[in-house]
Amino acid sequence: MSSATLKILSNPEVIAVNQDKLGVQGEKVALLPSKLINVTADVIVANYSSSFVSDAEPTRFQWTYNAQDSSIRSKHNNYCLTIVDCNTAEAANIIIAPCEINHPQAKCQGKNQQWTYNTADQRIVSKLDGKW
Amino acid sequence: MENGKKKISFLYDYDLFSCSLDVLNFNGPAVDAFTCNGGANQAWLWDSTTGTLRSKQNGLYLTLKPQIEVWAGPLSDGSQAVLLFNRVDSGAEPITVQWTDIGFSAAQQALVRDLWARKDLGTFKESYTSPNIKFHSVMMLKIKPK
Repeated sequence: MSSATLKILSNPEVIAVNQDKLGVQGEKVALLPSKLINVTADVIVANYSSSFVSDAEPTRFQWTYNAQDSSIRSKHNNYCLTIVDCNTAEAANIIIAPCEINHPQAKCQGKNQQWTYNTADQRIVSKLDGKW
Repeated sequence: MENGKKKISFLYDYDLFSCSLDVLNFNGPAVDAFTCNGGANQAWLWDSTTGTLRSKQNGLYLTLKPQIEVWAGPLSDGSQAVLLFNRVDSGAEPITVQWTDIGFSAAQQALVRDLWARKDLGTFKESYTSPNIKFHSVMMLKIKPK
């Protein structure tokens, strides 16, 4: 164990909080967006009027489709909707990340950032599994 | 017709992906890529006027997960133990804890102490804003009303 770790674990003020006789567990009281613009982020679904949204810019809920490169971009920072690590397994995680479409060094050539939207059946389909 | 392709869906239906169901998220807000199933949990209403993408399954909107978290719990002396979490994957930024989020009135004067550094940071009211907290880092405070 490093001395830094030991110092944290043996900090009497932190232990006092842990052992406090009131014994009430802490809970999450605020959930806020990063103030930095250019950060990757997990993509979720949420209610437009949920509590934390008052702190959020509406652009966090807005998306544009770029027909030239088939990207779906967040209006918040123009980052691309992305399947993490070009993962083709079920339940692959989706984030927004810097766009790398057609970048020669990009894993899977950025196909994990390319999508089609079918207005008839309302599906958003990744180009990552292009074999079909 | 599109069997095998991945679509954006979110873990909501009980019966969709029995072999890969993630119990932690199955009712939750996570959005992931799955093989097409023809279900409403993979249908999205794209409003080109407002730019929003709304799930046909539950009417919720596609958005970015907030990554700054403030946690708090009461202590026996009337103070609050507060943790400021930066869960962003890059950079560093200040985090603000509002008194009204930890059960104090905005006008309350309170002493803020950094428990890891073991030093008092001063007396504040309404809120306390930390120095820059690096990504994946945390600050632990004790906030005691005066």
